[in-house]
Amino acid sequence: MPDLTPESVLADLQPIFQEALDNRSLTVTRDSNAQNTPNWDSLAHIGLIEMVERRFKVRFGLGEVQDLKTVGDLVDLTIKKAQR
Amino acid sequence: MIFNTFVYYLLFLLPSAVLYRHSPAKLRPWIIAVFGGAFFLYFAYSMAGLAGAFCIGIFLWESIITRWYKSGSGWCILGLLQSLLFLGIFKYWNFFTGLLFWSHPNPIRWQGAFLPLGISFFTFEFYHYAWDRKYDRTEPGTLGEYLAFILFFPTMVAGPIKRFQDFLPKLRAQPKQWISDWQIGVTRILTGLTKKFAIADLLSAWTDHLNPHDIRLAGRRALVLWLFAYSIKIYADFSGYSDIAIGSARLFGIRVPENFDWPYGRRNIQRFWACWHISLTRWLTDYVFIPVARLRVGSWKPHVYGAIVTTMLISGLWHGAGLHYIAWGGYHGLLLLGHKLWRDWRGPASAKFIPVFASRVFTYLCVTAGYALFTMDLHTVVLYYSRLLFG
Repeated sequence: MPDLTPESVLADLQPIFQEALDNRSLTVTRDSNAQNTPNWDSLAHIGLIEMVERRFKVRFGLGEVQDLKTVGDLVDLTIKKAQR
Repeated sequence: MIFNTFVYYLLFLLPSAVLYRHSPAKLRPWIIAVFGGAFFLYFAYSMAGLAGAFCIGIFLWESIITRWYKSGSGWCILGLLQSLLFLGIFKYWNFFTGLLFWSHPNPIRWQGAFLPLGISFFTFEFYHYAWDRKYDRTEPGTLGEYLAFILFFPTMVAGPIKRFQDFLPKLRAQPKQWISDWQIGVTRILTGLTKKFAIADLLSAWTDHLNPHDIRLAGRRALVLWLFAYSIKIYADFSGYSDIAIGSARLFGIRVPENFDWPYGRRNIQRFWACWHISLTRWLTDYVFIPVARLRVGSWKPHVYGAIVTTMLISGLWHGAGLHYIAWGGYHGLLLLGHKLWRDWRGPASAKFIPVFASRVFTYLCVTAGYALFTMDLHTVVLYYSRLLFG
């Protein structure tokens, strides 16, 4: 998947986060994490990861899913996986 | 109860914490390891005799095996399996073989079965370390540092369940704040002892040993009251233990994870579990829920609902080797499932005062209603609920 930049991935993640966390007015930044983002719990995390995998046609490993702490981590991992 | 003995404080906690703070960095892990080993031998022997004390070998064996753990290595798989094996044999052998031979006497029953001190907690720390080394989520540390991690006696008996990557920086840092650490630590220990003796043990006199005979004789109001009393007792008891463990760790200058954060005031069951036995919930999330939810067998994958219920059934089984514990876990799995379905259907929760207050009360009532399952065998619990509901 060409032309992925951190900015474009972050923009594409916005509607995914809004749907997964059930908050239409939510805007996430690279620093957003489960502590400072309402409703981002382990259940939502799994739903979120699956939606990102579908959107970007990537597959995250188990250790990678557990290591994701911030939206920035998710952006970087998505780009890394999509470029493989 | 170890935390109410003079031996714990005078022979182990105070000498080791003082020595630890006065020692050079290289020696500190070994001070914890030596005192932790002595602590295990002393209390394991007093509880289960020589066989209990010999279980120190489990720690030594496991710590040697871990030196071969590497990212993606088979040794990590061995580590995971042996953690489960230790727990399975000591805690669940008689339970599962009893289920296998449910209709007649169990021919392979382990007559001399005993529980090694802290096995439910230390095996979960073994498992965590093997898993996180497998996925390269933690550095290995030295043998001394790993021994200090698994033999850190304040958290050995009742948690909180630690993570190596969180523990290591604290172990390596020079503890400097004597006065504030000891003020906070001693206060926390006293808080825990008060919860345990002034509240939990007082209520235990009434809540423990509720048997079928008492249930048949008791009025319905007394049965309802029992549930509320038990809800306070179990919170005071367990959070009291955690307070003592956290306070004891603080005497070393080591901060271990918090385990309770006002769980009864939470507005839904998911928040309750995020605030009740937090270190266990996080362990189950990382090592059961996420792996199960991410499981793929060909094109098949379990639904997230299945992962929720599986996780809570395992949580129930971890709490004790009995069908009623599994039923209690299943009950909480259904509560979590119900909450998720409700939220999916109704959308975001209201922020108005009355719905928020009502949901907090409702969550507490749901949790409290399940405590009979936690404490009574299935036969007694059926009698209890039928008396409670139908008189």
